[in-house]
Amino acid sequence: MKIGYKYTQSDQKHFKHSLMPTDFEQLTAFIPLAKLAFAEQSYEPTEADVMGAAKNLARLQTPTTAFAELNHTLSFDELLNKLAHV
Amino acid sequence: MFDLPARMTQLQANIRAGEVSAQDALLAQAKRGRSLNTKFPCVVEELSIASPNVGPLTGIALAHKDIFQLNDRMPGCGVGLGGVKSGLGPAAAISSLKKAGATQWAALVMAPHACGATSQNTHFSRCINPTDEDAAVGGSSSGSAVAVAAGMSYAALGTDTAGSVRIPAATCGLIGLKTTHGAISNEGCAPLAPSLDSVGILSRYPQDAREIWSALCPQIPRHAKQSMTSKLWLPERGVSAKVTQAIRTWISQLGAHVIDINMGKAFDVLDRNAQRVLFYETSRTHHAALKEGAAEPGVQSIGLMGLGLPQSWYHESIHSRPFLLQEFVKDHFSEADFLIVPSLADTVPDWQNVEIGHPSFDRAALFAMHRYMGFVNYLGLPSLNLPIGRDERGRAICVQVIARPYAEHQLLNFAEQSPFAFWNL
Repeated sequence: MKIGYKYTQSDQKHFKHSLMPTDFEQLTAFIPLAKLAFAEQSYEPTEADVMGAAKNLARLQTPTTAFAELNHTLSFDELLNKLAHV
Repeated sequence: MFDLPARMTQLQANIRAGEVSAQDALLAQAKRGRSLNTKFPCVVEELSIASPNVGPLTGIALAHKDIFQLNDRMPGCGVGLGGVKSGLGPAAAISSLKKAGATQWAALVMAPHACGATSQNTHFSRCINPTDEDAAVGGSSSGSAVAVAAGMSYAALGTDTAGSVRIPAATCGLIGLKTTHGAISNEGCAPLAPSLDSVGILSRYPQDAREIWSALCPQIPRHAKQSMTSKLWLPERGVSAKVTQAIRTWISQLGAHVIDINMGKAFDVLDRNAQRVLFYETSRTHHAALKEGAAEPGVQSIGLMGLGLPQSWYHESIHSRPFLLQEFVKDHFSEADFLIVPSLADTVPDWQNVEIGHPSFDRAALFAMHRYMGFVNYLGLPSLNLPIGRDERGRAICVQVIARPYAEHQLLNFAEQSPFAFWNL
């Protein structure tokens, strides 16, 4: 199984996608990703740190959204202002 | 000595009517706070009271979370007593309250670096819940909740990154207003995860919270009372039967049109994105301490997950945020003004059950305290913790009422019209 940022094909509605199970095989597949993230921060993790981070990544997968290729013209705080009814 | 009323708005009226001077009112509040602090210790440092400031909040002495810079004082952030720093100015929120006439008499204890859903803190005495001494006090604005519930301050500022105003408010039966992201400047306030951090208000009464909100954001007009049409999400799993029953009972007395919805799948997506941002930004805020192995336990557990999170995952969550917000507002606030969701997923636990390291520690009980909080910070929306009932031990049961951006006055209107009052003086 390929683990990466875009690991699924997008559904039309972002939250209609079923999430992948977090079994042991998948957990081990996240270990290299976690190690790379730690390395990018010049942090030397223990084995327990890596396993914890891999579990976390398995838990925090989100379906690929339909927004990945879009750019928003407003900043987030500007959008909050725009959506206000005051 | 002047007998202080239960409500801040009443004291304001007393001062306006000349029944008590602003100076005497300040001294009476500080004296009462000092006295109650012996029973409910939550003061990090008592501050000197000068002459009253001029404005609608003149004569009001408040106490706030020790996360804000003050004149010549760095905050202790829950890990120390704070420090003198000559020439330092107050945080923007503190400055706004001062401009409105308020005085600050104390800085209050908090979870270390605002990183914790409970009041657990090895640097200070254990926080005692004034509504029930065996009950947990939520965090991270734990001292703010204790001070307000005990009557040491009519209202208190806190900060909310993943529930840090709403959770302590929920455990102490208080109004807890997490404001719209960016509505109140975070300048001079120690950050945790800047994309999620919002200053918030705790008080016993919605009218008192409104006075503070008006002082912090005077440009937002007060709204006339409006419809209370609401959507209600009560997750089928994960919320205790007692909480569900209490919410249903309250809804039946609300006198409002309430539409049941299921937003479980959307919640899951938002919650995961919220956690990614929280972990990643916390790890950057406390990068040096994490690398040196000197981070506080709460920061360590969250920060490590952030260090092990790919940058691309964080950027994806930040990139998706405006789209998900737009979709959420369209889905939930087109036909309704409010969205009601549980605050805590279960009744307020005993403090031992959520004290990490205690023999009675129960991970599920701790999770129930923050389960439904973080997704609101990701969306940046305002959310009000509102007590709606009591459990069999008399502890508060609360909901969160969420609304469109900058609808804080409408949320406070909603609270004023609620058929239940935890504080009834």
